[in-house]
Amino acid sequence: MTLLRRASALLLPLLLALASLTGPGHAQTTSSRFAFADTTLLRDTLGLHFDRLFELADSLNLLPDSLRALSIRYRLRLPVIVSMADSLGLPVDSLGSYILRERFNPLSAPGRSSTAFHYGSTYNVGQTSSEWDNNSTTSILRGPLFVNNITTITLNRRQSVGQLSLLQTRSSTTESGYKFSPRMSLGAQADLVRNDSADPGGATNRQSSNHLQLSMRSQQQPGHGLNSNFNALTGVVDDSDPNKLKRGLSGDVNGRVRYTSPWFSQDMSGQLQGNLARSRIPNTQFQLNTSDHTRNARGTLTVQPEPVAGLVVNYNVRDIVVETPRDTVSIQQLRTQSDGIDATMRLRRDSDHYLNLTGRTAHNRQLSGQIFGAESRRHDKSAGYDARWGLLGWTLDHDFSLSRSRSEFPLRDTTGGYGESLYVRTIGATTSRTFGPRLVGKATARVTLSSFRYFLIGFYPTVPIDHDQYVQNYRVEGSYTRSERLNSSLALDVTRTLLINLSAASSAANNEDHTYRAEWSWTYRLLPGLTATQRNAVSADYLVYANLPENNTLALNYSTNTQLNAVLTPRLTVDVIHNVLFQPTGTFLRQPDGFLAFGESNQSHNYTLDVRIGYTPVPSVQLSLNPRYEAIDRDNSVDGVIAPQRKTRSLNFAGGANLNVPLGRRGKLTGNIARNFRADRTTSYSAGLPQPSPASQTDFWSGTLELSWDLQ
Amino acid sequence: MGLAMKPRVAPLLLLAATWGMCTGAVGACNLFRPATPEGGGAGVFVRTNYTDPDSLLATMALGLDAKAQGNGPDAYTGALGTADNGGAFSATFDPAVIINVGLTVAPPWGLDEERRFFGGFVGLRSTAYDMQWSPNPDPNLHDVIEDRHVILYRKYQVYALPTEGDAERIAIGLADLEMVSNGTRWFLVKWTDHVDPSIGVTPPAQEDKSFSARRIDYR
Repeated sequence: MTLLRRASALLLPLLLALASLTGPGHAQTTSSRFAFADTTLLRDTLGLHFDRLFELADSLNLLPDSLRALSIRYRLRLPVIVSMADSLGLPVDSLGSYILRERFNPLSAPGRSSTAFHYGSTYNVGQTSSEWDNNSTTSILRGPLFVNNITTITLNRRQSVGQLSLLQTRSSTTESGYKFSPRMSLGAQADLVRNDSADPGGATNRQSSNHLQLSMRSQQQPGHGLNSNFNALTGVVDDSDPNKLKRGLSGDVNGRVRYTSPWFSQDMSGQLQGNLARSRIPNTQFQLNTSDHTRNARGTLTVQPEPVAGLVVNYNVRDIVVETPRDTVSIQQLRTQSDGIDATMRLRRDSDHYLNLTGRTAHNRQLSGQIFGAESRRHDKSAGYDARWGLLGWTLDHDFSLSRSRSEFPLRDTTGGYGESLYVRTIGATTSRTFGPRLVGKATARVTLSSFRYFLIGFYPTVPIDHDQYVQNYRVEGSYTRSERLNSSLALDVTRTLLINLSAASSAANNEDHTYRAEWSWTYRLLPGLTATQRNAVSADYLVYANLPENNTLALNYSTNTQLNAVLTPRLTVDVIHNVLFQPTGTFLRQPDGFLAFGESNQSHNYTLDVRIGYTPVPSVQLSLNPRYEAIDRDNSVDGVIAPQRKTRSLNFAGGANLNVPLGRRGKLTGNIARNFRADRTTSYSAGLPQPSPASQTDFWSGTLELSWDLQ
Repeated sequence: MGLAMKPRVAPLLLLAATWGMCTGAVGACNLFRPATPEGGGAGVFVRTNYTDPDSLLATMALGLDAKAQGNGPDAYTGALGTADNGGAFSATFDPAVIINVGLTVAPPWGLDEERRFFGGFVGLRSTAYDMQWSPNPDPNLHDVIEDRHVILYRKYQVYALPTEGDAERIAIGLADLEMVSNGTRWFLVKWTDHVDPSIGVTPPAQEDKSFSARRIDYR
């Protein structure tokens, strides 16, 4: 350890010229399928672990980052999420909303007497904005009597170009009542919301919504595998905002039915919500009768006769109407209607041999209020499949889809609008294979063709142009793991993009873009506790205009990111990150001799040096220091000569702490807070002469602190 | 060894042949063949460049100058951020204009509204347009330049250029322009508009309106 400390002290100045951080999850991804996955997702957060994240997400047909986000949001470990979803018969991504809903369902409260209270306060501060969020949830049960309350207060301040915008939201929902039996309760609910906003670009805006309702909740279990709930609320509504005042009667009826059997499960829910009110524009006396309603029904049918085959069908219908007084005599109606159905058939032998067939159709109609009577319509339908097949050591992933959508915007303007017909075809394939214990290869190909066609409705001056967009991408990558200490990967990527305007009058803009990109990265553990990682990328982007070759553009990009990650002692870590980015851009023309001539028109150099030092005196507190220097130079071509256009230098120094501190047995303080000192100066050049602007110096707090306290 | 390799190479060759046939590279399948454009290669063309904040503003100006022709509308609106790219564009209004036109609340203004404004504004005059950017004349305002975030203080003017006679100014104002970069290109995410103090909310020349007033005309 002494040797390591001495070496680190000597190495530190050298490290400032390099930089790094290793991907800690490499050892956790064993299959070739996950060899190129984003292993930063595996880092532990808040004491949660994400072992086998990729395999689990793959088997659940979810994105790994979505599954990880669910785990963090609800503070549940991955196995707990999966077992809860299994036992409740819910999709994993529906579990969170189910937990929130049931937490305050009086019929779900266990026991005869209980008190649960949670208070959370989160303060989020940045250079130009801050947000303070306070929320509390209370649930009290005393015999048949219950009281539930959720209160949230959010205060948001945003400093924008010297002016302050304020947004304040306060909401409180309280329900109290009497449980006649474990299956039915009667009570009253008060739902109060206040929104206040002030923006320099608009007048002060104040909205309030008060709903006082009687509530009836019930749940039934009429047969084996069948359960349902039915709720009804009715009362008065009092809404006000700068455009309307609305007072009247409101009602809400909603229910859910779920049937499960070994062969299939059916989950249906529906809601009918609305109000009848007398409405008027503020500061006027004429009142109009308005009615708002929401009709919503959705369901999921899951058929799974055997583990090797399954069918999932989702369907939904929604109709929302909101009426507001347009003036003293007429009513403006905003209406949104949608319906859709999608089905997925899964045929599966094992995780390396499966076929999923999918189909979807949906309609949307929206009557907007900006132009009176303007209704937009959209119809989507799509079909496709994705499959995986392993054969002779190769794994082949393949997908294909066709989708058509037709949108109409009849009143983009008061005189007319246009419609769009979009037809998208996508085909993709990925094949991967391990070659011995150290080498993994992967090849990916994808082609997408999107055809955009437009038609005029009425009169509209700027109807978009009919065009096709074609994208072809091929990528080959290989990963070599020499040992636990050294691994490296190389990738070559080629993309061809075509933009084709069909009419002769606009085909001057037709172009073809070829992008060639090579990436090489390596990670090497120099010493126990000292790891170096470097990522290098080179790309060339040729944009060719067949009809206007003088506009051909070549953009080059060279970047190197070097990171050093040192664990000097179990409590002290140092990360040094160095970035270099060089981007020359210009025109290119094919010369008579066949060679391409590059005429550079501008170039930019970006350099950053970032050092992060973390010291953990106790497990719940980490102190951090983060100096960061950045230099940005941009040069432009003036009369064919590259000359400076702008130089920016900035130094940011942040010092703070990361906290995960228990406060007694029931409280916890988590998050991070840092004080930032920033100085920067920009020098612009005019006719080759520097025009320096004064150095600006700012200091500000940044971070997020969350205080939570629970009483159970 | 050669014999042993055969079973491994054959599936790959079959795969490549299948891929070629599916994508139209081999055979007669047209599913992935783009349409053939009409000949001529004519039309107005705006060369878009969003690789730095100044180029982005220049591209927007060229897009407005092209009006509804060629890729003019796409060049202008392509500079604006979306929820998926950089962050959704929004524009705010000078409060004095809001009061002047008799509104109590500034209308929300995003990409769709800006597209509608563009379509209406370029039809205001049938002649060619010329949009110009220049620094905000206030000496106390300095641009904020960061790695992936800038705030530029600019003055804009739009002229209608008749074939004969003097140019007519049809828009003038000041804009605080907030932009973000995704590392490859820049996006305009917020346009905070101000009336030029030297012109005022009710300009002596009727058409010397700010974009705040022009946008409200086409809301």
